[in-house]
Amino acid sequence: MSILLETSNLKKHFESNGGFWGKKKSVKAVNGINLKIFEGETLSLVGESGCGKSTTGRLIGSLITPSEGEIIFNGITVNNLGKEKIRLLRRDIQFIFQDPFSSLNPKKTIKQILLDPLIIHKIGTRAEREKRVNDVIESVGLSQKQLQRYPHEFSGGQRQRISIARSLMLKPKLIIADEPVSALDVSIQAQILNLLKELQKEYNLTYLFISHDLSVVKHVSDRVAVMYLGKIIEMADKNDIYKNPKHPYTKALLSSVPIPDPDVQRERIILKGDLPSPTNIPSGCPFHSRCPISTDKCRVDIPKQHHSENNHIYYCYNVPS
Amino acid sequence: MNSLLKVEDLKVQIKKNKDVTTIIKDINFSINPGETLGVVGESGCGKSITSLAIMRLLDKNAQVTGKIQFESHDILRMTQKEFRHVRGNHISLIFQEPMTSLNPLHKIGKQISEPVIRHLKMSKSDAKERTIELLNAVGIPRPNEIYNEYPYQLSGGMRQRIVIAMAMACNPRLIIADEPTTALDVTIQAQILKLLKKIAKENGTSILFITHDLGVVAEMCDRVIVMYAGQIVEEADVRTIFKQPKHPYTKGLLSSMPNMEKEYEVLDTIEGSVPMFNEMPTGCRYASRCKLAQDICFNREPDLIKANSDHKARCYFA
Repeated sequence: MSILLETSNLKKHFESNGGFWGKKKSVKAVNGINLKIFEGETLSLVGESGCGKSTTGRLIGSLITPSEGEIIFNGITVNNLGKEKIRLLRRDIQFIFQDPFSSLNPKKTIKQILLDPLIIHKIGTRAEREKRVNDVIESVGLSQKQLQRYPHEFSGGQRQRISIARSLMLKPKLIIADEPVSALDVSIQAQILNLLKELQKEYNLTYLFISHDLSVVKHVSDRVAVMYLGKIIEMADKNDIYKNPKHPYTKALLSSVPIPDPDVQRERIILKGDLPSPTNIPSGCPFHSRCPISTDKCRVDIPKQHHSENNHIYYCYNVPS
Repeated sequence: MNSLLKVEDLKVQIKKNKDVTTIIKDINFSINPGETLGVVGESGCGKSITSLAIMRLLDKNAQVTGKIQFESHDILRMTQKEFRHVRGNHISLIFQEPMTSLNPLHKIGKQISEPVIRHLKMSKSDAKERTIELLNAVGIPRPNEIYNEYPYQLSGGMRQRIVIAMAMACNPRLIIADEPTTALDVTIQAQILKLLKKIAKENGTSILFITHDLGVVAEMCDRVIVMYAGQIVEEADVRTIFKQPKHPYTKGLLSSMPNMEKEYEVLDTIEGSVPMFNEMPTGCRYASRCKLAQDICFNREPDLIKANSDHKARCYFA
């Protein structure tokens, strides 16, 4: 498989001036991310709120510019491209957002919402555009009759279908789906997850799937990257992550997910305390303050990358590979 | 065993201009002392309205009829003044959003000691002692300092612990927990669920646990009610609900949820969506989405039928 996108040492630090008398603070939202996304796969970013997974998605989609590091998409270094080139790039990278209530313009009809990307990128004649709209709306399971309606006339699940249709209009290579089913009820969530999988097969799409829900991630992904405080702490094929997690944080995360079966009794690893603030990241391993197996070394040195079989990588001193 | 709370034929109607919309109806259930009863269902099924009706926190335009028997009193027939001795004292409530259910202008200590001073008539110094004790019980570090801090200084998980401490303050007999962990991350959710279990066990408190997350239900509850479009569609003990569900909606809900312990190619789905309250069908409310639906389902509404002594389902084919 060929690499579609690669990042090296990607960082995003948001500076806040801390008010008139305050000290300047820097929020280290993304703090050195190295990852590769292969063509046709689904890579998931998981982690708790504030771990930097959405910021990583926005960096990769060029919605914000990195403070440091590089993004290479399809062999082109994205960082120093001009405005016009970035616009071309956006044809290939599209977004689906979490909240289908705020990500669709309430004043436009569905048809206008779907036509916009084609008009902005000056693609096709009027007839061709219309045809594309009709094709795409049916591929997401809505009908052409619904094109003249406004977003408020649709339910949450249908709106998310419209968002997906919009992201498909320009025939993108990579779709960044940021918590696409978190706002939906379970019965609707299943419909959308199945749709995303179908579309992937049909159009050979690559997904960067951002989610906090480990059960959903297990269902959709090929590979999974677990993030903690702006860093990837473990990355592997789905089955390796779920069956053989290495990093103590991944283990705790997996053991915390409630299983919908009263007969399953699991040993639960309960972490101490809360996620530290990204303005004040602990020294050494960022996880040492909550880690059940941390040692003195973890407080001082940042763990290096450890490899295990099948390209399973993790960052921890105390787990043998 | 005498039940602690018994809800009979509860019905809530909302009046708007001249339209009357029925939000929930035919709600019958009871909670035994020390029991955790789960209420599950998707958004808009009426689970929160049920809890607000029990706490008498609905707006004036809501008409509540039926009977809510708490110990020996009917909550709906108490005067406001009488009920004030119950709310926050014998029954307390934990909301979903710890960010919005605390007053941002008052210190943590003041908010927790308020019900203690009001209901248990404690002196200020005794109340402070009790508050610190409660903060300890819910696992807040540095309780003496946190006592003087404001909600904004705490994280989401800590705030939810504060809300739980407030709910526990007067040793209530019933805690209504409305999606208490939905806004929290999984590792924090695990901490909070463990805490709630401990409270229920140590103090013998009953919990009415409202949630949309079947994983949390499997973990927390003794018995479960499944709600759909303003009605109870199934009721059974937790094992039966997961292992031998009778109602097609419960079955659909269970199979459409991805389970981390299993592998799937395609997830089962429930086609369509919940009918709107102003256009409820005359027959079974689930019929339009149901794979088993027959003519009778569209014409006549099924009752909640007993399958055996503790298992009920609102379906002709259960």
